[in-house]
Amino acid sequence: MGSSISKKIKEASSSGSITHNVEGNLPLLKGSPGQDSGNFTSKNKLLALVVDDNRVNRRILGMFLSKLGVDSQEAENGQQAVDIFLGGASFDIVFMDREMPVMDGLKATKMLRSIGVKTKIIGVSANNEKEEIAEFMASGINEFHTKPLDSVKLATIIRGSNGSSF
Amino acid sequence: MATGGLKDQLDGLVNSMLREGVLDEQFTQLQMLQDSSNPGFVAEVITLFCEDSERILAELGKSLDQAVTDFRRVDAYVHQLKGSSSSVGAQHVKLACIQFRHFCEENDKDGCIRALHVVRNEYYNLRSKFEIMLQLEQRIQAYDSKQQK
Repeated sequence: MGSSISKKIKEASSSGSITHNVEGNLPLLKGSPGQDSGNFTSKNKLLALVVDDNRVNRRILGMFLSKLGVDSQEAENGQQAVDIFLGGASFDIVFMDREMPVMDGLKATKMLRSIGVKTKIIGVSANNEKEEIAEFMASGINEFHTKPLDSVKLATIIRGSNGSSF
Repeated sequence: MATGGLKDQLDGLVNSMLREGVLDEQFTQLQMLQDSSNPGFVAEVITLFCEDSERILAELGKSLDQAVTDFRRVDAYVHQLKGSSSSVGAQHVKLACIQFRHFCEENDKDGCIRALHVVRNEYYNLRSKFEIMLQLEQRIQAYDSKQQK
């Protein structure tokens, strides 16, 4: 797995296909899923990546985001999330679950940061132990929130990413 | 029965589940996500939740039937169930999962078996109420569709 990722990183770097977001609060304006990454549309919608191994959680978060006017794509684990970025996709915000099979949220976040991804990453977990939160923050997430996320928390998170009001 | 009566029944059922603690505020949040553009959202989420829960409960049963228990594997399954039950507002199931995880952490097989029994009971109690809820939702939507025509 490690050698295939290294190969992908070299290929992506040489082709210039990894897109970078400005770190922190400035969002890129992205089109809806299914369009080429990096295309701008008149909709000015944010695009989120929801990374969670639980399909119920992904569906619910996707719907909450949709209600806030945010399009979303999904990944079932950290490895898929990394692969999506290595494939050239870019997002305005990532919601990263902590505990996932194949590759957990900590490893995925470290990997994304190591390949130059500066997208805002929101770490989420049902566990709110201080040590675990600190460990997750140290991996490179921008913020941590306890699950489940509700409409109020999400609106605050998205507002912080966009600067616009809902 | 007019749709108003069906909606009252549905509201009454949900309110009683909230009062009993079977459901929590998170379920109310899900209901608010359902609208005319997503009329079947709650039913969809309930269905996904029930499918996943039954798969996980079956795996837990198999895991605890093994002579040697893989507590990490058991804990991973319980973590999944706890996560989805929390997301849909299934409070009693979630709390039962939290207790279950304590036994996993202590590598207590008997405790895990007892905890699985509790989780199953809570889940099946919830599922029976969800089934009534879905039937009412279907009848309301069928009646509303007919009215629109």
